Amino acid sequence: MPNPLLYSANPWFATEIASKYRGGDYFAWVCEYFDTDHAPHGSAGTLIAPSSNPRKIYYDLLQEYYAQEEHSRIIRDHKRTFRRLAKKWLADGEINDDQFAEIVASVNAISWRIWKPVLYIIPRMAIDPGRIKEVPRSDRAGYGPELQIIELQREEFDIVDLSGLVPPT
Amino acid sequence: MIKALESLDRKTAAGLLARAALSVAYASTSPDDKLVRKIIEAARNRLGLSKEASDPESLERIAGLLDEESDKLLPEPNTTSALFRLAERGDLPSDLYEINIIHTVADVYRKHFPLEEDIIKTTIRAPTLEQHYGPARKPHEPVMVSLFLRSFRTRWPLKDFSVIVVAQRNGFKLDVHQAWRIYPSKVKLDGVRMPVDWLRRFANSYGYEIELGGKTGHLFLLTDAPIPNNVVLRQKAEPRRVEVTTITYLTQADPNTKQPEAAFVIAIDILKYQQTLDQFAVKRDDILERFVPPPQPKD
Repeated sequence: MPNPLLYSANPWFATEIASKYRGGDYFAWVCEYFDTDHAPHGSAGTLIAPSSNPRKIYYDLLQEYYAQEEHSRIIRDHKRTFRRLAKKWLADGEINDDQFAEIVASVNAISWRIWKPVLYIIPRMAIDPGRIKEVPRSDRAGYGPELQIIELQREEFDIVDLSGLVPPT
Repeated sequence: MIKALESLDRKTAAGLLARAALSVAYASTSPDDKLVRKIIEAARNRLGLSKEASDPESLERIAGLLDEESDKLLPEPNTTSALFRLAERGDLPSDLYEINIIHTVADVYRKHFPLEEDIIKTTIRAPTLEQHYGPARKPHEPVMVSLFLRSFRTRWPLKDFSVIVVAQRNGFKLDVHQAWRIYPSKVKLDGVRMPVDWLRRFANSYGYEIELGGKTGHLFLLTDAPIPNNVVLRQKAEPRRVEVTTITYLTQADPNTKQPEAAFVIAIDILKYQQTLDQFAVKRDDILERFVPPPQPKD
């Protein structure tokens, strides 16, 4: 039986982008386990690569957010991704020149707040199964299943901040 | 430019290069789009990488080249005016504001203000909830005002509190006019959703009912006239109790008539509020949250 909840760790900026520039459509790369290290023995969850483990993604980003780590590889990769997405949306006519400049300006600014991680907790029952797509093996870092939900709506999931439970190291 | 893109307009070409870079960055070996595959192949050739090279370093080099190419195709975005627009709308990441706490806020907290200053700045830089008003979209609404709310845990759960901050935006500056701690045991909070609801509940507990323009209430989001010198407070007579009241509000100009008006008018019984602070007596070491420093500019 599929797990009733799906998890996705993202920087807070992703929620800003979705609500302010994507008409409330959120994108989520999701996993059936919050912590794949603790997936039941024998389940496919144990085969999910550590780089796709929501707990690890969340905690690694949180520590770099706490440390204001200027050479953070994770934050650098997020910055590159958002710049690329902004170019794609601009070319596709989904955002205008001003909105493109706003996304680039936010990414280039020295804000740390936008990189604070948040956890999406998505009740599976609320999502039409047709909208949950399995990521092809060639795009996954491990054998374990990974999923994507496109055009996720805000009322379909909860956004949780776990930082209060995790002290800086 | 990569040959496959020569016949396309610059924006479309930049978009395709960005798609290709995204595809490479996510190690997608077989992007659906034929043109995207061609672009990646051209980038590999230019870098002298074989088709099989899929180690992270090679993929990073390919994506980097694609980024450079797409940057060349698009005009440099005007990020300064973009940040200014974000600030005006209240969409600027809040840790980028220059925070100025006005003296009346400091007066409320007296010798405890240094701790409160850190709490206020942390609330702004990393809020749990935020709400922004203006620029004026419709009449009878506060403009350029931001509300920030954040909860703070302590070593003793009964002493946990939230802070509501009311600030006026002025470009990249944020002037803090009000900052109040809200202890759940003292303020009725059921059903609150937005920061303004928290402020209203706080005003119901610690504020006097005031009369302005023929209306009475604990919190006026906006008045259509400046605040008179003699605000009428409707309060029960408590003759043996010393009263210290602070009436705080933000001034703004009506977007149409340019007449001054006041926003977030509140009359707080300061002694009652200070008694609550003294009762809980939360010290710096009691707070479990980490105070958030300002982002350090790069050298």
